[in-house]
Amino acid sequence: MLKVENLSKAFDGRIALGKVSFSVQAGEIVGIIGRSGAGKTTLLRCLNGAETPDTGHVFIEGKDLSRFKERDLLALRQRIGLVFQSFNLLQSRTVTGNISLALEILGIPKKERLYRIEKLIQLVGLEGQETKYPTQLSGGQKQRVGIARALAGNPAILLCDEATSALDPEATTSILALLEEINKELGVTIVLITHEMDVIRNLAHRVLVLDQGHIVEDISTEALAKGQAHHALTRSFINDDQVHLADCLRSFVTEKAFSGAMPVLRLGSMQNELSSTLLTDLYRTFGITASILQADIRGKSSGGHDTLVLTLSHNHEHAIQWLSQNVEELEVIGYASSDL
Amino acid sequence: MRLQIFELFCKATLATLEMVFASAVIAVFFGLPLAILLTITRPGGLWPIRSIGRVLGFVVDLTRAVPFIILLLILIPFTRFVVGTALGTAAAIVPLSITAIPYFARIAEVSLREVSPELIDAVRAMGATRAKIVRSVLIPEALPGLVSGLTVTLVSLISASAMAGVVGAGGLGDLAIRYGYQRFNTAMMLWVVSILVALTIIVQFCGNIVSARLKAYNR
Repeated sequence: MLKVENLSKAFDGRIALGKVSFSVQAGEIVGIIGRSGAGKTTLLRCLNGAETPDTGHVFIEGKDLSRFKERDLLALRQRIGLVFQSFNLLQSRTVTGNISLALEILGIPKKERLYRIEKLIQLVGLEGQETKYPTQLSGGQKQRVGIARALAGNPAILLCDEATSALDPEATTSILALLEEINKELGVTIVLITHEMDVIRNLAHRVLVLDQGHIVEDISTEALAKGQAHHALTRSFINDDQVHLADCLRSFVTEKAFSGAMPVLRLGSMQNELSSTLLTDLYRTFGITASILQADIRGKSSGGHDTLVLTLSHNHEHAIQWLSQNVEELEVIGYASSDL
Repeated sequence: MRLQIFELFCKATLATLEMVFASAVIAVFFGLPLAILLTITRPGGLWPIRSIGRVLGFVVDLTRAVPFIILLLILIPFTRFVVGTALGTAAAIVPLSITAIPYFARIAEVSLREVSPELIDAVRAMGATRAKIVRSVLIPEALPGLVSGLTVTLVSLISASAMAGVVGAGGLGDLAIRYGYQRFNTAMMLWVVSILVALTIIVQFCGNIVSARLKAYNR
C-alpha cells in the first residue's frame, strides 16, 4: 500500500531523514512517533509529495511518487487523505462547503457532490451541523469536518498529522474511535504521526519510532504492551504516560552502564502509595542513598498513582532487586554519571 | 436662484460619485489581480517567481510615490489618447483609476497575505491547482479584508476626486474651488465640505457593515 525506501532528506547539511525504510500494509493502522525535530514533519511532507526527498522513493499503491510530474502528482496526492492538527478548514465556508472543496478539486459534478457530502456527514456524525461555519464548531467537530474532507476522494491512505494534539481528552477519544471505525468499515489504511504514545496505544496496530531521522524501533502494539520494546526512546515514550522525564534530565541519562554510573530508576505504584520509609529502609539495608530527581505523588485520593524518578549512589544489583520487591513497578531508565 | 444652486450641488455630487465609483471599479478590476500576483510571487508563495513580484512591486511603488496632482498632469496625453479629451468627468476617471489601482493593490495584498500559508499548503496537498486555490481559498478567505480595503480606497478616491477639478472634471471639488475659493463664497465652501464629509461617513459605514457581516464567521 505504502512503501518507503531509503528516504533521505537534509536541510542545509542537517539531516532530517536518514535512509528511512518501512512499509505499510493495506488496512493497517501504523503510528509514527517521535519527539519534535525527529523528522516527523519532513517524513510527512515527503509522503504527500510536498517535499522532494534527496534520495529514496515513496511508493503509493506501487507507484513511485518521485517519478511523477506535477499533474500526475496531483492525481496521486488525491489517493492520500490528509488530516491536520490545526484542521486547516476554510473559515469562509460551512461544513458542507469545506467538504465540497475536496470534491470540487476532484472535478465531481454538483449533483454527485451533494450526495457524497451527505454520506460523508453521516459517516463522521455531523448531522445537523451542515450549515455551520468552523468558528461555530468545537475542536472535535472541526476535526470531524477535516476527516470527512480527507475521505471525500475515497483515498487509499489517511495520513493524520498530530490529528488529536489540539483536542481535549474527550474529543481525542471520540476522534480516535471515529478513525478506528473508518479503518474497519472502509478498510482505509491509516498512518498516524504523533508525539503521544497514548494515541498509538489506543489505535495503532504497529508503531515506528523515529529519532533524529532514523527509525529506531518497528514494533507491533501488542508486543509493545508486553514490554518488548528494545529502544530506550520507545520505553521513554511509554513512561511519558506516567511521568515526563524532564528534558533537562534526559540529556544526562545514558542508556548504557559505565563504571561509576548511578542507575536512574523509575518507581511506580498503581494502587498503593509508595511507602514513606522506603528510602530510609534502602539506606539502612544497603547503605545506599537515593536522590529524588522527579516525583509525581498523587496519593490515594486520586487513584494513588505515584511515580518517583531517582538515582542511587551506587549501582548495587541487590538494592535494585530489593526495591523491585517493594514497589509495584520498577524500571531502570538509564544511567547517569555522579556529577549529575 | 436657490433652485439653481441646488441643481448645481446635485450635479456636482453626481459627478463626484460617478468619478469615485467608476475609478473604484477599475481599481478593483486591475488592482485585485495585481495584488494576487504580488502575493503569490513572494518567496515561499504559491507561484514563487521572484522577478515578476519585484518588477510589479517596483511599478506599484513608483506610481504610489507620485503625488496625485502631478500624476494628473503627467497623464494628460495618456488621458487624451484613452478618452479623446483631457477635460471633464470622464477624463478625470483615468488618472483617478491609475492612482487607485496600486493603492488598492497594496492594501489588498496585505489581506491576501494574511490567509494562512498552512491552509494554502493543505489545499495544495489535497491536489488543488493554483487557479483553484486563488479562486476558492485566497479570495474568499481574504474577502472581509478586501472589502475593508475597498472602503479605504473609496474614501481616498473621494478626496482625490476633489483635486480633479483642476482638469475641469466637475464634481464637488470643482464647485469648491470655483465658487468657494475664487468667488469667496464661504457658505458654498462649507456646504461642499459637508457633503464630502457625509459621503465619506456613508461609504465608511457601509463598508464596515459589509466587512463585519463577512467577518462574522471568519474568526
